[in-house]
This record gives sequence, structure tokens and C-alpha cells, in this order.
Amino acid sequence: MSNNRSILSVLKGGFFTKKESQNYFPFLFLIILLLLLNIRISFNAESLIRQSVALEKEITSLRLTYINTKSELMKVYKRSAVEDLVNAQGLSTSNNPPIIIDYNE
Amino acid sequence: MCGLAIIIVMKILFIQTLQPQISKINTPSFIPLSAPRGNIFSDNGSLLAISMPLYNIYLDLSVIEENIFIKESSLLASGLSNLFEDKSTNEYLKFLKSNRNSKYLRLKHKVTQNELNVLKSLPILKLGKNKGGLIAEKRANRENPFGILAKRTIGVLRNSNPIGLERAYNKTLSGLDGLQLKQKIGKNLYRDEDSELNLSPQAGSDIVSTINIDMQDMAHQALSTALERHDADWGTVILMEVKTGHVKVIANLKKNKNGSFDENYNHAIAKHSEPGSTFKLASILAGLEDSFFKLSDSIDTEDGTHKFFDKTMRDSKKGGYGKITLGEAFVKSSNVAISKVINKYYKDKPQLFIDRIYKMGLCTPLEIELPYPNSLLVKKPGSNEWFGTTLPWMSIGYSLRLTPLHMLTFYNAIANQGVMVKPLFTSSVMNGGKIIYEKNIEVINPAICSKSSIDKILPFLVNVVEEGTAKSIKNKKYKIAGKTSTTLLDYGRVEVDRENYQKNIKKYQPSFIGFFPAENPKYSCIVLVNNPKKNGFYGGDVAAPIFKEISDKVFASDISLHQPIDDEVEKVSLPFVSNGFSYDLQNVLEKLDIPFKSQQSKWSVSVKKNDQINLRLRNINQDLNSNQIPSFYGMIISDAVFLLENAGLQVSFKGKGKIKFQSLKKGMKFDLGTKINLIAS
Repeated sequence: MSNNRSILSVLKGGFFTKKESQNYFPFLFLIILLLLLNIRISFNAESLIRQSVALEKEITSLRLTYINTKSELMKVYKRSAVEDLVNAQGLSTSNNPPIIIDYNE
Repeated sequence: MCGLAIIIVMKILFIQTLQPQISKINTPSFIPLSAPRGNIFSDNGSLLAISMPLYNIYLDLSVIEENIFIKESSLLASGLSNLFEDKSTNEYLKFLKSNRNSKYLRLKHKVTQNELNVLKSLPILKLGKNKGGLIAEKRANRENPFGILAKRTIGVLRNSNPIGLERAYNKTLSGLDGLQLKQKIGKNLYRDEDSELNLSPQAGSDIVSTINIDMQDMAHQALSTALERHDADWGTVILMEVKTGHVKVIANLKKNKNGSFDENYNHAIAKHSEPGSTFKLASILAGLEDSFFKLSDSIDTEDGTHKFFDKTMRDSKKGGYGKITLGEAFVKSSNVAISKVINKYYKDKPQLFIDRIYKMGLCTPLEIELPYPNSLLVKKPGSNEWFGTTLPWMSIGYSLRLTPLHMLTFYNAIANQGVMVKPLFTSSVMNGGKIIYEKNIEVINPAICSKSSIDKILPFLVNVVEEGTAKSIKNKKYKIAGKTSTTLLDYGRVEVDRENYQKNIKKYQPSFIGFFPAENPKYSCIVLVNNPKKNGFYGGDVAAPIFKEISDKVFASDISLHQPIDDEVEKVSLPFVSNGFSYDLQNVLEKLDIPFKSQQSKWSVSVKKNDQINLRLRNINQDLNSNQIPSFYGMIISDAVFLLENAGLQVSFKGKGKIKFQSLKKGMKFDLGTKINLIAS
């Protein structure tokens, strides 16, 4: 019964009107402050996680773009692809071996 | 108030106990983290296989606002048309408008990341998923940037029948998947939690293959052009480094029904067939090893046919070659000569011949890295399948089955002075850019035969190209050693029904196996073409030219095959020094710091020797004093005129520089006033 009365007293706010309770006010404010701080930190952490996930996605996307571009480069870099390009200009691969000049200072 | 509290508590208990799918939604759980698969590189670091996801693109057109759709749909259609180049702008516009209310409209499958990036920048679609309706579904994909180049060897990883290096090195490439405890804190948002059971994924290692993509491309082009020219069914090329066994090229092309060529079977390592005349090298080496004959021994090829029991051996040249040496028989690829000589010495002891073939590594599987079926067939004497005709036919490459790679490994051993090395398809394993494992050369047999036998047969392998069945590929730049083959497929059927078979379904398999440069071989290569139907069918006409096209390009592009010309530069750098007055010559050579050696004489002849100028004694004054004409060739004309006029001769001359003609020959007597003509260059 007495417990019910205490809960009701807290819910009704009568607890705050009692003079002897006023000594606990600084402590209550501290708890409220800590609670608010905790909420703020939680939101901040969540925001950081969101940011991190977005950046990870961007990194993945950039990495895939890099891989894709590199793969396309390989296709262009292929010997026959280069030969096809220069054939139009009347150039072709020489079958003559290179002349090597060794220069020693 | 209490009632409300009770209801809340009851609901909490209900959810916690009876609705775990809700209560556990935010409970931390272990989520698997897949390890990235390693890449496959070529020998110079080009990417041969890489994990690169693709996207299936769908559109939710129902989310697009009407005014935006009306305003920008034509721009979107134009962008799609430019990007995919498969439909016109109008076709795309019609497609979009006719599916205006579709929520999941298939736009395109297998879209690359770069294409997706462009899609995301197009009008309407740049508004994102909720307003633009772009749905990109990621799908795993293994990309081969060089397309079908060596595709069958690089391989494919799939659930059923994976192939190639992807299969052989799957464990190395896969790495280890990880686990991470995560708590869901929002839609698609998880927070990592600490746990002792967390396991970081370990990325798969990279494989460095021995394939050289430049050479592979050259061989691919040469083979596909030739297959088209000869209307052949399929063809294969393998190029191997002699000392290391590194396979630089492995091309397999087969004609599709639509006439294009594709790599859909690894004929090089898996196709077991009768090698034909290229096997004659093994037969000859066997006889040389057993000292049964010499290559200078004479053999009668009769009229180009010889009967072994009920079967007739034939030479490709009608009428035969008459009496020739065994070496010539090899160069001309005479079936009759080779089969006669092998049958003569081995018919009573065929096991001795087979033992020799075993020693040459032609009867044992190669046990290469790549998975391949082993259907090797070499008949055993005394078995049910061994007949009186088996040995002569085996000696010319029939009645047995080998793969192209097996035959090449054998020829490679000949090029490598008898050392048979295992063909290798990979050279190292890398992780994080560092080599963690490097493969060594694997010697299968340090001596498949004696070096003296190899030394005896090598000139004849060169002669096959210089004057034999492959003389079409003879060239001045470097020498090729090798052997042609024109295998008649289903040889047995020819004997049973020769007339019909030849008329209707006669099929050949020309090939050429060789190595170059013949003096110091660096590469060995086999070219094999199946069933050419036009423009020739002999090994020398079909396979050898492909070999040469490849070897020419490899020879020109591989710098290690050529020596620097600095020695020659040194020789060339010695200037021309004319014959003349010794004091002047020595003075000039000293000033120019050119090394020289001189004998004590007034007049000198200059000769270049061992990187220096030798000034040799010239007895001009002695000759002139005894009234004899000396030789003035090579002397500067002013010196010669001075000497001759001092000796009392009348000199007339033309030109300037060194003398190239004198009218009176050396040793002739002269008197005062004798006329002499000189011509200088």
C-alpha cells in the first residue's frame, strides 16, 4: 500500500513539493543531465555509423569503378586491339628484331 | 493507470516469449563476412581474372511524378540509347511510355559498375530509388578482361564442372570467410559488437600464371586466321619456355555453329589423339639409343608402299623416294622407311621399343596442375590389342594416343638437351602484393636419352625446315628445328573401306612441333589443326605457317633473344686508315687516341686487327730503288704521285682519295720517264 502511495506521489509530482526532497534536486538534475548526455552520445554514435556505412559504400563503389576501368583498360591494352587501331593509319607490327645498343658510361 | 501498466507488461511478456521474430530483431547476431577472391595475373601482371560484380537493372516507373516523366523521359531515352547502343532513342521512349505504370520493369542485365555510374547520372534516374525508380540488383561475377584469350586455361568456377586455374587453385584463391557479431540499429544499419568469436575474413591469394598475354594474343590471332583460311574444325597452339617449362601460350579455338571461334574445350591438354609423323622422332631416337642404326644408313622406300601382313604402309609421295639415308627419310617424313627400319630391329623384341618410349616420358601422365582427363594409350606387346602391324604403325605415330601438351613436352626435352621439365601454368602465389610462394622448375626426367643421340638428330630437325616437309617456313633471321605431321584421322577405317572413306569423309590433323632459335632454343611450340577442308591439309602447309607467324613475332619481340651490338660498334668505331707515310699515320692515330701497333718502316699498310690498327711494313722505297713498280692500292693518291715522280716516272691520275687502280702491275720493271696511270676513288 505504502509502495503504491510512493509511486502515485512521484507520478502526481507531490514528491517535488516536499521540503525534504529538495535536498535531492541537484542529484536529480545530475541524473537527468547524464541521461540527456547518454541520449546525445547514442545519437551521435548512430550518426557516425551511418556516415561510416555511407563512406564504405562509396569506397566499394569507387573500388568497383577502378576495377571496371582497369578491366576496360586491359581490353584496349591488348596487342591486337592496338594493332587494329594503328592498322587504319597504315602501320603494322614489325617482324624485325630490335637492335640493342648497350651504353656503358 | 494500473490497468494500463498491466496491459503494457502483459504485451511485453507476450512479445518476449511468443513472438521471437520481433523480440530478437535487435538482438546481436553473427553475420558471415565473405573473403574477397584473389585475382589471376599474367606473367607481366596483366589481369586475367578478377572479381567484378555486375548489376541487373530494373525500373519502378510508378514512383516517377507525372510532370517529371513528361518533361524528362525523352532525355532519359536518349541517354539509355547512347549508353547501351542496342536501341534507338525512339524505341527506348516507346518502351518507357508503354510501361509507364510498371513497378519492376527489366531494363538491362549484366550492367557494369561504370555503366551503372552513368545510369545514376541520367535524367529521372539521378533522383534515386524512391523518386527516380532505379533498382540495381548486384550479382556476383568473375571477369576475364581479355575475353576468350586462354579462357579455358584460366578457367571458370561454377557449381558443376569447374575448370582451369580457377578450379585447380580454388582454395588458394578463395581465402577464409569471417564472422562478425553485429546489432541492428536501423534499416540496413548494423553496429559491430565485440566478441571473442569474431573472425576477420582473410582475402584470397593472387595467382601469377606463366601465360604471356602478348604472345597469347599473337597466337590467338594467327590461329583464328588460319582456322578460317583452312575452314578447320578446331586448332590448338602451345608455346613453352624450354628451360623452365613455363607455358607462355595455350590457345584452343573451336568453330561454333555460327562460324565464329570460341574456347570451349582445352584440346591442348585434354585431346588424346594419334600424333602421326611427329612421333617419328621418338622412333629414331629409340633406334639410336639402342645403336641399331645410324642416320647415314641407307634404306629402300621401294615404290612408296610396303606391306606389313595384310596392311599396306604408304608414303605421301607417290612412287616413293627410292633409296635414301635414314636421316633423309626423317627429313622427308617417309612412313615406309621409318616403319621398315623400326620393324626390322624391334619386331622380335617390341617391349624394348616400348621401354624406350616409356623412358622418353611418352607413356606416363604429366600430372600437371590443371585438371584433365587421362586417356593416354600406348599398346602393350603381348596384349590382345597388339598385332603384327602395331609396331610399324606405332613407329610413325599411329596405334597410340597422346595429347598435344605431351608431345610438346617431349620435343621441349630434346631442345633442353634431354632434360624433360614439367609444363607449368603458374609461377607464384602472392598475397597483399608480396610473393608468398614461388614455384621451382620441376624436372620429370633429367635425361630422356643420351646427348650424343640428340646431337645426331638435331641437324635433321633443322633440315626438316631448311629443305624438308616444312621448308615453307625457312627464314634467314633465325633457324627453326621441328617436325611436321599430317595425321590421317581414323586410319583404321581407311584400310577397311578405303574407297568410300577417301571419297566422303577423309579427315586430316596436320601439326608441327618445333623449337627456336635452333642453335640455342628458348621456346618450343606445337601447332595442331583439326580437319582443314581447304587450302591444303599437310602439316607443312597448314600448321607450320602458323608456327612461323608466331615464332617470327616472338623472335622480334623477345629482347632476350638478341645480343647488344656494342662489340660491333667498337669495331665499327675504328676509322678507316689509309696506307701511307708511317710518320703521318702514327701522328694522326696518336692525336686521335686510336690504339695502333707499328713496325719500323717509312711507308705503312694499315690493317684493323683485334680492336687496333696495325701499321705493317711497306717496302715501297726498296721496290722503287730497284726499278720495280710497287703496289699502291689503298694509298692516298698525293703520296703515290710524290713517290712515283721522285722515282722519275710520268704520272697521270684521276680522282682523289685512295688508289683503286694502277696501270702498271706490282713487280714490273720501269725506266726513267715510264708513264703510269692512277685512278683514285
